[in-house]
Amino acid sequence: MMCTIIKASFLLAFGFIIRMFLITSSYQKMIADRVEVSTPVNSWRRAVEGVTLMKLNISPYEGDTFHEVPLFLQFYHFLLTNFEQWIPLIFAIIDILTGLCLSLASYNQLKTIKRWEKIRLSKLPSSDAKKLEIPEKSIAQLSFRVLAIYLFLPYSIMACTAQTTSVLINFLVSLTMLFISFGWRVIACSLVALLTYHSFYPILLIFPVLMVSEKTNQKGKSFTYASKSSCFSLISCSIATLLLISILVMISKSITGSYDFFSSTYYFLLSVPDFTPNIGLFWYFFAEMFDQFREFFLWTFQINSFVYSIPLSLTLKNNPNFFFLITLILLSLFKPYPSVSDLAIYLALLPQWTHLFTYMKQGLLVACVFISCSVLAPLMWHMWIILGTANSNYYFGVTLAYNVGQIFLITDLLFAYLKREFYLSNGIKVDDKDKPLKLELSAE
Amino acid sequence: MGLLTDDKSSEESGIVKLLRNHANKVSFLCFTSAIIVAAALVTENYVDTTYFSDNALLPGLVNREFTNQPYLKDVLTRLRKVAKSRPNELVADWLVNEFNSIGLHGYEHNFTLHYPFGKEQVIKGNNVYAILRASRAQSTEALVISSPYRASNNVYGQTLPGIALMLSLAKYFSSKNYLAKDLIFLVCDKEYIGFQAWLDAYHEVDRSSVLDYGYLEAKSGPIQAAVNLQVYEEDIARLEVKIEGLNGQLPNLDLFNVAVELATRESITPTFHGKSHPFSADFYEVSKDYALTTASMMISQAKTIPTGAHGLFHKYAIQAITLEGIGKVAANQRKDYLSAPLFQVGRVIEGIFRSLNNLLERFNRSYWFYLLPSTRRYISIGYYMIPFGLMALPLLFKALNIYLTMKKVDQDKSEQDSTQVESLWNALPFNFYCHVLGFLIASLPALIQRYSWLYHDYNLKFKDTIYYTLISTSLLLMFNPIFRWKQKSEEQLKARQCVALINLALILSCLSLLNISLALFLTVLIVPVTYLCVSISNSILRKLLAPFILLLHPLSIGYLCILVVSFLVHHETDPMVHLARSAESHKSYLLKYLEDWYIHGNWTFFFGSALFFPAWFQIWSII
Repeated sequence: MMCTIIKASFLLAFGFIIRMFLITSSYQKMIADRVEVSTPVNSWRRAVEGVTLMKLNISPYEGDTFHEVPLFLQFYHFLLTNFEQWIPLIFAIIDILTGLCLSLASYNQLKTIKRWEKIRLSKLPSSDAKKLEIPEKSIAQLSFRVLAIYLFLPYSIMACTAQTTSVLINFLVSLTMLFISFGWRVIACSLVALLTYHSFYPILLIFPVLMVSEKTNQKGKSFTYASKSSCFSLISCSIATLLLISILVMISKSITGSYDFFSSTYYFLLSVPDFTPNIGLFWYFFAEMFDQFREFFLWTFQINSFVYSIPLSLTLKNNPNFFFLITLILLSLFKPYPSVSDLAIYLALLPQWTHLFTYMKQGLLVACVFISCSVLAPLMWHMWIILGTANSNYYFGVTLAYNVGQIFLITDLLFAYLKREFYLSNGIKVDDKDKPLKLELSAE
Repeated sequence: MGLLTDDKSSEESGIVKLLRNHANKVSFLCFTSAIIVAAALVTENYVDTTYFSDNALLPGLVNREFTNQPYLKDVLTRLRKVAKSRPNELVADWLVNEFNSIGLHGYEHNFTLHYPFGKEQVIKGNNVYAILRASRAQSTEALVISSPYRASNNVYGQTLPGIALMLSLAKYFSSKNYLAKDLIFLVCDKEYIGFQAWLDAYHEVDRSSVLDYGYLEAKSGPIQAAVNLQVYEEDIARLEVKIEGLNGQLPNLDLFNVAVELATRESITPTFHGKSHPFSADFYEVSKDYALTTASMMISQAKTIPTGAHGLFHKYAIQAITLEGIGKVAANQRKDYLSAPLFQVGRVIEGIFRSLNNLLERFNRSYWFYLLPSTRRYISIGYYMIPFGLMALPLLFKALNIYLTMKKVDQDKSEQDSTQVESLWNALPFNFYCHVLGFLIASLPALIQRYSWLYHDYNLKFKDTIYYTLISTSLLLMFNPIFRWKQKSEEQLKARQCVALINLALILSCLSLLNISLALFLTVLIVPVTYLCVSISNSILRKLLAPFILLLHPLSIGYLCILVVSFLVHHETDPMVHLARSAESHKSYLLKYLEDWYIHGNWTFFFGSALFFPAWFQIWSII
């Protein structure tokens, strides 16, 4: 135990030093200017601009500079007026804390998952149970790995170096994870409300959060949506969250004096007017498209971001924690302005699901896609923007590959999960050669 | 969705089986077919005829009218005289006066270079430029005619005729009313440094401590294209068109085509790497010509050093070529051979600029990636990527093969925790450390320079210090027991091999986008050895490959190239002399690449140390 604490504090210190070094070095500007890191909605430079405009009594929402909500603007204002020289330090510390929260959350989650699965495992033959169970001693090690990966993942380091506001968002997400793993539903729901208030899309997190809390309430037994008590608590919680969101919006209105900020924040997210290239799929598609199809495809794209949560909330009922991870990947995939910080947070969480890796097929492929995209994206950008020899198709090709990689990862994870679920309920089926039987999805 | 959901696919599909069991055969087939395809690509049947992709260029549509002979002769005589009276300096005031007398406004531009290595050294220079404002537009776009200033005592030959031609073209164009783009006439001092300083000042890039580029008094809009003149004599035997720029970047092929087309129309032979388009009807002869020209171009592209000042323009997304007017003597031609007077070259340039004047937008077609077998033929990226891809694929095949066998072993053992595949993750840190080491090596020159008093105390030159430091660092790394692969387990070795192969494939394919020639040469060299080294399972046999791998060290590749050239040029000299001489010029080349990196932004040293060396080092560590 002592040893782990020493190791962890060493890691934390090292991660902190790397971040501080990069933030204060001359690379900071270079990294902050990268489109993969800073998007219109999370760039720190825009936040500073917004605060300056506010100080000059000009509404920051009138132009096209600032796209975050008023309360966060107030927060940045507070930071910039009181702690201006400490801002790099604050960002580094918040990012370190994010890693810590993620690690603690995944420790708790693994413990809970293990507890939940105990009943199901006890019904299986002991050899199968041994194979399927999450080993007790690896739990600490895995959550430690989550910490190490988050601290040293280049993506999270880059996001922190650029001082993107996604650092704060990731921190809030990790806090949500942590509190829901403790079963503190009220705080978790209010955090989700805050996140939703900030950038709308995290509303999807409400599904896994409510499901986890419901499952915790039921002492790990699987619950049905048909039962009255579950239904009541789910609905009341979601209504409470929605109420909280509207209260936050009201407060923002009273601060700014009007609902004008809507057009610059939520409408900016939903209608995607900014075609600055990023690692998402929207910019190229909407830049190339004829205007008359714009609305149709806008609806299609936006529905895509939300629609998967409903079937998934039915499928992943047994393990809402896993649903949380899948939602994070979905967010990164379908957001109109994604950045590498969205990737960082779920990549760091992957070690928690090591018990699924055995059933995964595309691991090498996904890893290779991610690595080569990380190398090719700056290269293509350089060729397109600086040298002028390539064109936007080159860069889009890379972002397309990256998103296909994410889709492969998400499907692979889901199938691995389903396979393990099957084994958990039916035991490991073997053929006459003592090899595991092949599982296939079928319509029946 | 079969691709994602089908559980059987990874196990039983044909490709997987093929790769697991016959990877070596498939790879061998790929590599040999790559060579065959590469050979086929330079034959008359497969090369494409060049054409104009941008119709707005309309080359040769107008009558070229430039004659201006009296002024041209007069200005050349006066320029020669003044240059002779004031050697070792650019006659800036004279040139400014001359531009002013034509009716343009001439400007001087001063710059200072703080030499980055060795003892503090400051080089000062001044460029001269003049802007002819377009009569039909509002200075929104510009074209550049430039020339380096070399007075008569320069070993590379004087460029005064070219400058005189530029002056008379300025006079000619200033009387015309059809220009829609500003023309900038630029005479640069101190060769590439002057060009770099002027371009930096024009675009106001971030100031570095090395080149203080001063400031420009007057500017025009974004530069669309540039033609750099290097005309050595008054009578021209042929017009050499040079295209390879810094880092092997090429200009838009349309610009090259325009130059070739117009030179042909003015009856001046356009040549590329010393060769004009072959007229022979013999298939073998023509193909040989194509192959030699392509090879010559690829070598010069792989060197990543610009062949003329045009190469520095490319970095700013300006399409640029150098037109080198070569006289009779230099061209080794008979006295009675047809030659063109200087004003005819002027007409070619007039034609080029009137063509560029028609451009409606930037050169925008995907016409930047090509190899040229002759002035009238090209091989586009779609073709040359095939042999490259076929050569690089064996690396991926082998990596997949290793991965699949590891997985297979896993499944056969049928254990819950997949130790084999897990070890693939464990191999990643080593890869990471290698690249960190590579970055450290890349920062060695800066580090050495910071502590320069250390070697100044021992009376060492920077050139020697960096050379021996690099060698000793890589020896230290290579024979360091920490980095040697210890006979731990077979699976770890496999994992490391897999990672090393993927890493190498990734680096080479990225390079192929920036500089196909360098990528192809490196691939040809490294793939067979790497493949063999990974395939041989006997560790003692593998050790026998060590000398070959040693020859592929980035430094030894450079040394060997110089050695081969040295042997080819003076084949009768004693081998020992060659070895010593090559080592000396190897040092100079290294220094040159470093200077180029600091002044112009050449990435070859960085690539070699931070990317290629780590990839190589991983292969070295697994033998």
